[in-house]
Amino acid sequence: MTPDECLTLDDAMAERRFIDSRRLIVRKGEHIDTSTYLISGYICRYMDDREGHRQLVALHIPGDFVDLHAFPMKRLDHDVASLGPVEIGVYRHETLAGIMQDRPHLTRMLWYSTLLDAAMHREWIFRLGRLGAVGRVAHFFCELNTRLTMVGMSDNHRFTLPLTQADLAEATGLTGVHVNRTLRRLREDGLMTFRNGAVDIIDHKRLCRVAEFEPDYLYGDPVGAPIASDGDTR
Amino acid sequence: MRPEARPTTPECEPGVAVADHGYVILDGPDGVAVAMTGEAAIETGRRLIVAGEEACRQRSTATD
Repeated sequence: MTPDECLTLDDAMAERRFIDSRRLIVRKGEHIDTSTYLISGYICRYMDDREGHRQLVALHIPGDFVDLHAFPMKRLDHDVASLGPVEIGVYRHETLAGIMQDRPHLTRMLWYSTLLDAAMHREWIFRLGRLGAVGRVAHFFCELNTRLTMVGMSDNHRFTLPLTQADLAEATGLTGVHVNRTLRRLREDGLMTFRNGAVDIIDHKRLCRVAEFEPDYLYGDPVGAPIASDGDTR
Repeated sequence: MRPEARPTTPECEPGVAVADHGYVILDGPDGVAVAMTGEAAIETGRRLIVAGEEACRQRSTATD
């Protein structure tokens, strides 16, 4: 994104809002005419089953548009909540409509953001459908480490993460006791530790191997970056 | 043409079960990852034995 496009997005933000930890931000099914940009903190998207058991279906980090897909859909099929204290930027859909009319390259960048969401969803399906407990947890941390490294929040080995083991269980389709054991195994095997919200990846290469993690789907390389502006010079 | 995937077939390797903090953790085979109470694990084990023996009988009958 060009500096000019960043400025356009900054100007288009209707308001900044601080939200406490563990608060519902968007409720499933309600009509919405704004989209949420995550400035700081972590946000999750989740679905609850009939008995109230929760499945996290996405985790968002600073720089993510959390629910840009609500712009055309006007409601969400899942809930959105903060995992710790967060700061968000609120964008009115009518403002986004103006950007889409006037700024084709910026529009493609926003489209790219929702395509990345879809790529991550495919990978999460793979993780839950094909990997065992150790692979699932390892994959979760590999993905997060890569994404946080892209935005300068990890040095590719260490980062902070305000998640509990229960959150991790909800993201990986495991029970809390299973996550506890899996984290212990990852620690005893010298792959990584997760203690008091701090992640330390000790052996990145082996962790990626047990996770079957290939970061291509995150399109962090220049080849995968969105094509350059073609005529949108504003 | 769609490249052929390795077909998913019934597992030949048994899962690994351990007791941990008063629960039974079952890892594998394949993507199986379940935690159960001891009572549920014991009953599941009984049912698996019954079904396993029946499946072995079915296979030996089919190959006779």
